[in-house]
Amino acid sequence: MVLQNVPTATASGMDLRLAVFPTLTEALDYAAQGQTGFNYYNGRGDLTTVLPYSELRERARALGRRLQGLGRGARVALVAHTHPDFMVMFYACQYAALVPVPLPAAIHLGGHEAYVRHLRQMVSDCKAAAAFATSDFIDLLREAATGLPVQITGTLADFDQLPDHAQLPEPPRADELAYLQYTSGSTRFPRGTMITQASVMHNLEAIFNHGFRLTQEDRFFSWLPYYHDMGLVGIVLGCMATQRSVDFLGSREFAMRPRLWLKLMSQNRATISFSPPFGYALAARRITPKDTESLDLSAWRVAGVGAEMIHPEWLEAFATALKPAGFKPSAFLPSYGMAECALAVSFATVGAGMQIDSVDGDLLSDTAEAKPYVEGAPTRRKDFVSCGPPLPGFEVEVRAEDGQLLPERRVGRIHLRSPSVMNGYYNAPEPTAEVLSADRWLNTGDLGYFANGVLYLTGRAKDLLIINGRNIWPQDLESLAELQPEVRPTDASAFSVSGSDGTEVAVLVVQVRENDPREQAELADRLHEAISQEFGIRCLIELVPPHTLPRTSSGKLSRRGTRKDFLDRHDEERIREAAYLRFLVSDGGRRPVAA
Amino acid sequence: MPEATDKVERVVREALKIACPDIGIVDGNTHLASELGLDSAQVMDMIMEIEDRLDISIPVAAIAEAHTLNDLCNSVRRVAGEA
Repeated sequence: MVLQNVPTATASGMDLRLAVFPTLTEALDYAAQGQTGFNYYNGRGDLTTVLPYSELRERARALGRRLQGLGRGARVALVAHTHPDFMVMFYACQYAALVPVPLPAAIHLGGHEAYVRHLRQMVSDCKAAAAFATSDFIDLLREAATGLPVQITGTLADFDQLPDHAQLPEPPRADELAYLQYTSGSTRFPRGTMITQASVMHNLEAIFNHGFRLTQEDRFFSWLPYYHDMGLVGIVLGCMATQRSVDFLGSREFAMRPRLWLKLMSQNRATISFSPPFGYALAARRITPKDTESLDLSAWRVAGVGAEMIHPEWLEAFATALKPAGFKPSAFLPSYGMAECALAVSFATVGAGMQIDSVDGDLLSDTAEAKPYVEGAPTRRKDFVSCGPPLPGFEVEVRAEDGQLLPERRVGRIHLRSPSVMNGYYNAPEPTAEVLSADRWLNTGDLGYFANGVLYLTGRAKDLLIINGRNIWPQDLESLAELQPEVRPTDASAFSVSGSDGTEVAVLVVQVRENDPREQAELADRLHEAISQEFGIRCLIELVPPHTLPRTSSGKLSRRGTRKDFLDRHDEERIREAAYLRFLVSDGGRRPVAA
Repeated sequence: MPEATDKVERVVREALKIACPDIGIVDGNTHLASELGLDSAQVMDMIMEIEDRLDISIPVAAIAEAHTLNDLCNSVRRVAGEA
């Protein structure tokens, strides 16, 4: 249904209260007294649903009375499709003192089985008492939950049939869990970050008071998925806790028609929107000079950037393309964060745009020192984007591998401590102990340095691939390879290399005993199929003879070593070409030195 | 009905050509992702073209079932009510 001439307020009509609430229910109790709320647009750019916070609260409380029979603290899995029913379920869980668990709502071509398997892993891992999806996803969810001890699996209409209770339970306390989020884990070993009401409210208060100075005129636009920390915490929770209106476009609709993002922002005079760098790149590629004529983006004051390493040239391309529409490059606001501390650790300065630190690239590679680059010096220049100083309430340290605290301009592992940090991964003491120390320091696995108190991200110490803003664990790619009959355990190693335009390219090196080119091609096809169904990405596959993959002294595969050998075997040009081939076959040796 | 005159197949092939201009001749049983190497962005481009040309909305479940070009045509026919 398309709504016409339905007003969607920007101002709440009450005093702005910037996430200064002990819990999410108290935040919604306040937001519901004003005029603002969530607005949904379809893939044609039409307004389809207006869900003011007042109505959201009323519906969430009514449904919460029906959900409370699940038992305080029970987990409720929610397929997080961009849809008003998700909101009602999520906030009903809050009022019923249940723990909502948003699950991904993204399927790839031919990806039915892979998606169902992935959902099932998470529903099972969080021991969900109930599972919800909208009609688009309900059949897949039912299939995923078959045989699991889930009391009820259904759409909102099914949950509305649960017996009504006379009143709601005691609202959640600050020390109870607000949600579990599965952003961090691999598809085979999901890790649900446990975030309490106090942690998420601490993070939101810091973000919305210090990350960007919010006013009554601010209006958000978002196409970010609800199962991603930026979309869930920043928008679904953060905008509600600051009584801001949000115009939503589904992530799939955005991916198909990125120009709608800009059209709707222009139409509604939206002032704030966040995206991983690839979103800006995608929009910049699609925009035509004719489009920009009809756009007015002069109101857009915060163009947040996060979730992956920031490539300045991608943002510059966007700013150049949208300059005729009044977009200001000073609106770019780089940030740094992770689901393990709810959302954000640091923000750059509002209104200052991207601030670049140019360092001596050769010295950086050799000694891990980030010394300022001197113009004209005979060394490589390497540019890093400022992620700003840590938010209030965050202690951030850069440490060497041996744990020693490093001074400014030395690259090391980023560790942090804050009331925003998670309690741990749900039901996973060992993975929790790997990242969270007894005195609650979180090892982020990211590499970076401080300069003048400002944080710069340089890379990752952990073996994680981030492709189009999405975390992919190498273990998952390796295990897809090991499922093939001719591949033995520990015969595969995955990592990423830089592509020509600064993107990360996934690489999977597989040891095979097969020499027949047709059999090799057939294996490569099966690997591509499996990877694409599960992750929707292209991956560079290299087949090598047995005993090629390097091992550590303890006999474990060394991804870092495999990556180094791979880069030694192939020069950049070959890798660029190979990105368009189905696979590479290599004898595992070093590339011949040119005569 | 001969395949070449099937409107859905023609539209799907045109959409594929727009999403991946370098593509050669594609057999109906070709796996779109593994053999043609379509990534998610190209799949989205293709789906958008199909939706726009046929004025339909293709649900996620239909995408999830499609491995080959023929699978995709069948899914689209079901959505378009032509099967």
